[in-house]
Amino acid sequence: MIERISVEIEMNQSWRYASGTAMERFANGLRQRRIEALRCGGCGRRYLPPRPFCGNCHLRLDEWIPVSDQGVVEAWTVVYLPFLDGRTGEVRKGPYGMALIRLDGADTTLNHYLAEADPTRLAVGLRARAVWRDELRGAIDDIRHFEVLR
Amino acid sequence: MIREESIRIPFRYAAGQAGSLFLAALRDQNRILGSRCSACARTFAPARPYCPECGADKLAVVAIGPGAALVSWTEVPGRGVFGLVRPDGADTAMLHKVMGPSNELRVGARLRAVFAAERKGDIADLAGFEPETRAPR
Repeated sequence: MIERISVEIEMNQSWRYASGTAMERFANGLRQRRIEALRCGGCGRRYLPPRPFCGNCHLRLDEWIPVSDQGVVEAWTVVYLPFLDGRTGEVRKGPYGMALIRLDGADTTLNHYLAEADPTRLAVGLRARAVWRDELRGAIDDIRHFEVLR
Repeated sequence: MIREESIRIPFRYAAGQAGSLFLAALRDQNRILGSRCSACARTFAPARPYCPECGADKLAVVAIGPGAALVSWTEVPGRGVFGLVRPDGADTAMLHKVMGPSNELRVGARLRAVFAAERKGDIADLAGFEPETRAPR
């Protein structure tokens, strides 16, 4: 009988990247609890998170519009398997809710955490509101999660 | 805006049959194990479950090293020298740490395996390879 060895490894992955002008303005807005989307002058689609070019028209986008920190749950799931939080590398214990949320004033959805993890209390179409952290650093996790409005 | 971010990625994998033998031999016997394919007469370092050349899966486990030859190396600033090291008796090289200043290294340089004092069934049980010209520790 062969001894079965399992190997434990912990990698530290660090990186630097240029956020680009659109994400820079978006991130700086978050620091002031301000959410802004980019609107396409060609088709009118309002992108949140903002992107520099329209996926439909391929036009360069530069028209910034304010967006609410409340919106509609367009899709949701509850995660039961503990998994690495992609922003910290720390294990995020389940269960936790995740949703694609379309904020009022935007046409695309934002992928974020939900405060609610009970699937019997979640549904497409529910209203949700951003819960901001006390300390804002200009990043998407300045929003801790979204809470469902009942 | 330049973002600097960092995440931890912990994971665990099963070393498998050949990998477990290899790691246990490092830990318990101060020995490096390779696999010899009788079909194509090659010996691979480290031990592996099947022959990457001809696909045969009945490989014999053989001891290789502790002497070795340096095939190639590079220096990573702040982290030392890493080399492709071919243990004696093997036809392939393995990537591992090479001790000593890089200006003493040459392709073909003779090295020997250095085992860690504390071993736990991990590739780090083999601390690295050092030039044979050095006094043994």
